Amino acid sequence: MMFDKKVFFLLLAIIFVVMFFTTAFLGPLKISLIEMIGIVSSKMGFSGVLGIDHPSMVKEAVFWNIRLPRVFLGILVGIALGTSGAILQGLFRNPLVDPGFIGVSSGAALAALLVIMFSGLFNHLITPSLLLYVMPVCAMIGSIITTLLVFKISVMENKTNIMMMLLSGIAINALVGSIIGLLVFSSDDQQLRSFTFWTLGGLDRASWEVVGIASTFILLPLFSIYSLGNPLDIFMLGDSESSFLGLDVEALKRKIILFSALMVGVSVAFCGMIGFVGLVTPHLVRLFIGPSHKFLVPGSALLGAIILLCSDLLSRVIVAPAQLPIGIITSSLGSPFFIYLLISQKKKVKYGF
Amino acid sequence: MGSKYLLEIESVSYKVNDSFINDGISLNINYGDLVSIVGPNGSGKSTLVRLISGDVAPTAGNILFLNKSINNWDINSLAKKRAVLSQSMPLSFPFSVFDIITMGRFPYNKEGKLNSEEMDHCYFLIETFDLKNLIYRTYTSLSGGEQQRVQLARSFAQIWNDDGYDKKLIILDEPTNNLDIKHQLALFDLIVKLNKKGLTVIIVLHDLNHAIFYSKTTIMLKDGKLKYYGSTLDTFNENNLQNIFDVNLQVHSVNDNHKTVVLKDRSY
Repeated sequence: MMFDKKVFFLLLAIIFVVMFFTTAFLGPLKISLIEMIGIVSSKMGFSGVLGIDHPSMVKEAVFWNIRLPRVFLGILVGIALGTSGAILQGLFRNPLVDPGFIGVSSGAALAALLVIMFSGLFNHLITPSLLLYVMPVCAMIGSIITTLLVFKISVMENKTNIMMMLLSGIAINALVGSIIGLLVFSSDDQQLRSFTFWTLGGLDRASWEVVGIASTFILLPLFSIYSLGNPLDIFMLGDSESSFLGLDVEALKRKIILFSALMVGVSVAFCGMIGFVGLVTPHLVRLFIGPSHKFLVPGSALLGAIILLCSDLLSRVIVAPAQLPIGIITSSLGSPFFIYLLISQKKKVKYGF
Repeated sequence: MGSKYLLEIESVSYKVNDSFINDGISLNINYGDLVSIVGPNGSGKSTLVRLISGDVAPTAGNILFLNKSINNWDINSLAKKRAVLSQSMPLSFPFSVFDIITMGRFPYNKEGKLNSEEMDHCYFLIETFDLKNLIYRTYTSLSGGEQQRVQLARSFAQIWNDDGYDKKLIILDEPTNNLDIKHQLALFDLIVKLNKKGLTVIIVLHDLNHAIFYSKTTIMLKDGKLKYYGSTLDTFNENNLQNIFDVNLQVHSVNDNHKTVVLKDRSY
């Protein structure tokens, strides 16, 4: 099922644009293309362009302050999860890696939760707007620590021991689960709802400020990651083999850990843990255009954004006007796919290809 | 850079958990030599290869490559001077055979875009290792021998450049693994051809007749120690082989500059 790379990227770009507009229009409150142009143009300072009447204030508020930041945040988080999934699978040289499985997301969530707990104690020091910056930074540190930990535990003699990797992921996830459980135990109804946010994720905390911070943390590493495409391909040969070819292996590993932690950290800080996107996205891209990271990384960024947009749309439409946590969508679609992956891996082992 | 030897190994030891894998090895390797390393299992052949590749640093002693400690080389400059074929390399992702071979050119261009000269050379190696019908196959779907040929082509792609083969080294750890006789001979033909052009070759071999037939110099290891080192014709005698391998072997002289190793009669 191999596609020409140009065709593949063109298709992705078209789907991306279509999904962007669909998610922006659809929702409990429908907004038409005409109204959208009206709102955007009035925000840019041209009212009444093309004779378009200004839509109602409610629609404007919903579209501009809620819908649009949400769509952008979805795109950013999709890029972050898809890309970090791709480079982490490269780092571990294993297609079964997902930031969620190996505890990277939980590490970030744990750090973010600790920030919330302690900011409650020091609420005269940490204002909500400062918290907006403190949270992603701490979440990032949390995910750097967990990535390093899992990597050190599971990599032996140039090869990832999958069992060790998944078990250390389970340990970290269990630790975070127990802390969340503790918080849930001691919280009231209102707080309870906010904890499901961490475990199941959601884009409902989107605002322009959040989008601004997220795009800095996600788009800046993204540009550096593109240049890692060919080195990552070389890295697949093995630690020793790639250094024989002149690759600075340790520097590459540090970059991958740092960049994926940045991306996952900021995603988790703003959107909680959204599972399986980092696993499924690179796998789908590989299926269409092969394993080369030169194309896998941009492909996973684009497809990750599309998957997040689709999942967000579903989460808003299925039980409208209420919203499902987005993690329910991604996990319910992602876990059968994971099982399929496991079965096909089993066949590979059996038949040797 | 006027060093007398390509590679100088000065009382090198490598220790893991207090036990010596390599113990006090000293030897010099000349420019343009073709050196075989032989020895029983666990005699430290692969570790010696890792040491002289710069993959691990010795616990004691020094390894100078072109007069400079191998661990002080900039790894990219080093990658243009020496290529290494390690033993068995599994891959987790389905890269194509062509992708893997062209990865050998990484030291020269980091983007992975080959110029037409490099492309020609890769195709020459594809022909040499009989990979023409496999280039679009995925590496993971190949048999062991086919994978070995791909890795060989990659290693030789790395060492080629328009500045020739002088002052360059290729280190091959059991390159004949899984190869059938035809491809073994194709490999040795290429090794001899490039060696004549100035390439220095260090090759770990299990087949003693390969070592006798092709190498100029032989390193014989046992228990991590250098037992015999010298011209292949001198080092291959029944006494040395008995000491190294603990097996009774007969060495026959075929003519003045060729010998062959055969089993002594065994009564079963």
